[in-house]
Amino acid sequence: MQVLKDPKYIAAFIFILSFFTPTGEIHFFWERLPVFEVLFGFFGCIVLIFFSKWFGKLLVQRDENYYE
Amino acid sequence: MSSAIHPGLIFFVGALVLPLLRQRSLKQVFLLCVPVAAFVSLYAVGAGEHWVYDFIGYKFVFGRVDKLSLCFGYVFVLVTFLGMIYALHVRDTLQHVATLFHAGAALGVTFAGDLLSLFLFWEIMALSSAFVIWCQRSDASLKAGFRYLIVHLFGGAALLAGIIMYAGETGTTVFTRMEFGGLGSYLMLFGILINAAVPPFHPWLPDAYPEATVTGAVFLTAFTTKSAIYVLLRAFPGVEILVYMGAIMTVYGVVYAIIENDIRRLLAYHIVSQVGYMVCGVGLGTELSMNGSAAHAFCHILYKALLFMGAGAVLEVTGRRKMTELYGHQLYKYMPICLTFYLIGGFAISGAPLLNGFTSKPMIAIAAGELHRPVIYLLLHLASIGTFLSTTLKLPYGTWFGAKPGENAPATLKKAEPPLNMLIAMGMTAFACFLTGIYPKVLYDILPYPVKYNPFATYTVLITLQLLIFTALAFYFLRSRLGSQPKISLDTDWFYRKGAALFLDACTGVAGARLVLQESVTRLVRWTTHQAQNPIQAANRIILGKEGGIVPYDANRHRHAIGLGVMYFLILFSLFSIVFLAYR
Repeated sequence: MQVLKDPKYIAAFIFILSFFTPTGEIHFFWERLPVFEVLFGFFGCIVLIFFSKWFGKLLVQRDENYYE
Repeated sequence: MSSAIHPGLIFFVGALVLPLLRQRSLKQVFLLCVPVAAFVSLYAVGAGEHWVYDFIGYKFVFGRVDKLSLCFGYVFVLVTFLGMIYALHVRDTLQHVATLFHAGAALGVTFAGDLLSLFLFWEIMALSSAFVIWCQRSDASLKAGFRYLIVHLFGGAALLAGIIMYAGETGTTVFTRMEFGGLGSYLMLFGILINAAVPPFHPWLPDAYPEATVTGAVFLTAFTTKSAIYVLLRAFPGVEILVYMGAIMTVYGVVYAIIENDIRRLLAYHIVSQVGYMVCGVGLGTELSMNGSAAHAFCHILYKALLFMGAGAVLEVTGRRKMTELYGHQLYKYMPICLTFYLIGGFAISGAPLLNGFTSKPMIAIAAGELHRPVIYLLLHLASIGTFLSTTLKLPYGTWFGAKPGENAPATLKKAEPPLNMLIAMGMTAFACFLTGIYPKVLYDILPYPVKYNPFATYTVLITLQLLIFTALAFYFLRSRLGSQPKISLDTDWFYRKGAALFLDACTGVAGARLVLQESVTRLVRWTTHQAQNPIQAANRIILGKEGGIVPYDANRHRHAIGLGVMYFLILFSLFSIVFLAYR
């Protein structure tokens, strides 16, 4: 039962399941890849977090009283 | 002419009558009756041209009613009703009046059939929304409201200039699909893009909306940007540049939202992001994408109102709106109903199945797919991830959860559910999100074009769930890195908040340098004038270093002996003679 509570195992389970996603109407080559959305969701999220943090630190973030 | 009354006029009259009512309960009933009356009027009015008035030879068309304008009209009236329930406890009559004017002006824009009446309501909308912001009555909201007003009046001026040039070029002021090309149409598009908050013309939105009142912000989110989307759908469908602007804007809003600390500003950046989908849909210009834009505007108004209601409820109860101050107080234990409704809105904006974002947002992405535009498709997809990440995972985590308060957090917070009317409004909005999400036919029937799209295809449902689950997983691993910092993010409003001040400083600097230059030249002239009073003495003093002040030239005192002159002449004459004789 402990396994069911750990998100890592649940994710791994869904990941394996996602290999059996039926394909829909194909517009782009990646839509033939059944695991594409899983990987895109996971790595897209990581890229967004790191890019935003880097962008914020480097360029735009200032102290709260910057405009005062 | 129609027997129905213009819904915008109902709002305007309602706004004028409201201050005359003395009893509070009567006011509350009246506030709810106004949108109901407007809805009845909308329901009764048939398609076609209504409320046409001749004014000194110009034909004002206040009511061009077709499927597109009705779709926006319905949702504007609906969100006013829901927002009024949310705002029932507010005793500030001015705020209600400003809100009613704002809603009425948005309806006026929606049904305007000619460009001048469009402009008229456009300006009423800008002014009334500035009053909604000022009703917060704080220093920050006063300043933000003025910045908001300046930007919108500038946009309005651009729109008017565009209208005049367009009318001059084409000889018509009918508000319909425009020929894109020529300065007139560019200026009009520019004015509209400012209202649609397209970067880099967007910073008024995340600047001003979070400074409005708890209840006012709910109305603000609905009207200005979405009426701009309506105008784009009507006037500029299929304009290519909108595709890129829209797609970039979806990701732009998301990136800023991820690093934002203020919960209502975070949601405001998501308006920018979500409106990007609609702008992109307008630019793609197919029936599916245009339907998608209209449907997404409809759904967005509902779930964004719900999100702002949830964030506003936290602000109303605790008086705090920064995650660094809210984190760790475990508000979820004290306001579970509010949290649940907020999360429904969060899942709706993320496009989770059974909620309304799912029935509208994929239409635009699929339209991009059908046109084989991979970059646009992937950008829209990436923005979906970021939307789920920041509105539904990061914001609730940072606001309602957390083990212990951070160093910037206050020691104690007032914790309770918000007033009952707020909860009822949130419940009804959540119901509307579910209704249009589970039974989308109610929405699809009022869209401008016939809908052949089936949102519940197995593939679409499966990939949406996969995307959301694995976004959540990535958040789970990286949640410690997402902690908010007590910082603000600079945006393009820097250019008119700091940049303009720097420019002014530079102008003052240039003016100062001119003064210094002028003064030194004046002193030089004054010195020369002084010296010139007696050139001989001056030459003695400067060249030979003789002492003594300048005394005005006096022929009897300063004249040299005549022999000196004769000697100079002889020397010069001898030199001349030598040169002359030698080179003759």
